[in-house]
Amino acid sequence: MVADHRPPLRLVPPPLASTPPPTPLPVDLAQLFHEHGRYIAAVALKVLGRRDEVEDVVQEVFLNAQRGMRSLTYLDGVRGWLATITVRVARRRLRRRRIKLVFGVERDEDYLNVADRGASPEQAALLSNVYRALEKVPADDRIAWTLRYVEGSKLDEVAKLCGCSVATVKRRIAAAQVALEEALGHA
Amino acid sequence: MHELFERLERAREHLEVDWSDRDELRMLGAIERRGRRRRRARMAVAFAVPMVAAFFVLGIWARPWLGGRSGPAAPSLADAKPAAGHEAAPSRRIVRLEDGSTATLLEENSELVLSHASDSEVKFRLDRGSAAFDVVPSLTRTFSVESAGIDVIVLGTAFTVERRADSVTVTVQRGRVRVSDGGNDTVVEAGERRTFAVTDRAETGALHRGQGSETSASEEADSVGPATPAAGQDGARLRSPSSSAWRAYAEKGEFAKAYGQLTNAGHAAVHDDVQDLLLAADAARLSGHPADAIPYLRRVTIGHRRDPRAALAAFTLGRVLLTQLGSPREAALAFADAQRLAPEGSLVEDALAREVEAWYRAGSAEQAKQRSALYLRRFPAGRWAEAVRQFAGAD
Repeated sequence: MVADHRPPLRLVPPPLASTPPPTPLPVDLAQLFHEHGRYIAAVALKVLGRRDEVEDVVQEVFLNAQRGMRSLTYLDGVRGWLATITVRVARRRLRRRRIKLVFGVERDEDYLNVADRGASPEQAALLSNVYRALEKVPADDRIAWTLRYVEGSKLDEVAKLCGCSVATVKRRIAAAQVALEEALGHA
Repeated sequence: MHELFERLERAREHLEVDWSDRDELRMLGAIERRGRRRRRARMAVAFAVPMVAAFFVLGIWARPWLGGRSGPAAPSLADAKPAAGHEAAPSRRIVRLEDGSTATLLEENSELVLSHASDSEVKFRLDRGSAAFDVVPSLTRTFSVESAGIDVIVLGTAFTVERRADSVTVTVQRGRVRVSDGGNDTVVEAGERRTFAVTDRAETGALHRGQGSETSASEEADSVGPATPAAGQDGARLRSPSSSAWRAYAEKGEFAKAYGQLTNAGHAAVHDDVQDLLLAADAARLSGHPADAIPYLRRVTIGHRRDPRAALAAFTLGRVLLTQLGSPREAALAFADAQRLAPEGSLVEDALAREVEAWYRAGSAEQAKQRSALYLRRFPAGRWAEAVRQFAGAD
């Protein structure tokens, strides 16, 4: 009798007749807000320097984000996307502020409460002086500088948030720096 | 400039925002309301433009109907700004309603929420500390303050409510109030002070309420004595530096470090209060350890069901079970619980839609269909209407 070297028969069940599952539900607002709301508020505070504007900006950001949420699934890049929206919203506010400043209808802000209660008087004074100096800097330059030196983002991250090249970011930071040196009197 | 950068690097750590779970819920509600107002405004414009065009085409001039609100304007809460003339001492924030009624927060950590405002009803909730209320009399509007399940209902009076860990004390300076603890009603008159005991049984989540003890308003001491931790919980709450480190990291969003600290410190480092439990759950799941978040989230939904954040905890639990742990049936139950915990809350639409998805993924087609039908009845033009139809196989 010839030995049978074929592998033993294996019964393979037929593939299940099923329709492909629908696309998972997109991201929902409550979860997005829970995970990223605080971070967005912190970015808004650092860019704008005014605590009383933070909540309004945060609401604006998530309202804008709601429109884009339908095409999102849960991605790691959500935080960066929200930060980009925050920068856009903040830029609009800063531009409006500068126009009001030109016409003399913007309130005089001393930025003494931009630092939280844990700051020393020297730190609170430093932050107050920096933000007062930044008032005179054009919005794009100010945002680039703030994201780099206050938020602590790397240059390529700043470029993504601002929607421009790294070279443009460097130019804007340098322009802001000149204005700050003049205002703060540092060499 | 180099020196400036060095000093700035240290100073920028003090650009933190105040952010509590209550702030989060409040802002989420504000976003939802603002979104609805915008959608209504857009619909109004979309409707108005063709109407105006039609009038021009037909040559019809119409005077728009100018409606007005009848009755007194609903009181609304100014955004916690001090009333004019009351400069902010940090422990004395005054909120003035449009009808002239005021609420004064008496302690630095007092937490007061305006939970409802309409022509016929104003309702506050005192979650912590104490507040004094001076209410303008109105026969058409009820004014109430709820604290730990105890309702103080007034028609026009001045009174103070103090919330402590195991008691609520009501002191009436003028007029009278009715205090209801869900079973018994007690009237507190001007010059009286009454304390109502509240005990939270942590194991079952049930509330036990005792009768109030009466003292005159001139007595200085609180008749119940200093606040003590609720029964079933640990007595002393000494926070050692190492057991608090995880909290500091988590609050900064450094969840991997927070999780590491929490693992070293153990579960005892997490206090049995909703804020700590949610923070610990975030540290676990957002550092890539979703299974470790489950006990914290369940603790909130079982042991703190009356807390307004319990619905969010149930919703988060559902998401973790569905998308990260592959337990769709348990997820469906969690989403259903989120709806029970806050049936009129901002999460209910999303929770119901997620529940449909979860039943589908659990292989319970009939349940998915039933819940989908409920969603479509409640939210016919809802965000997820198309998606739930697919899950229920309605197409």
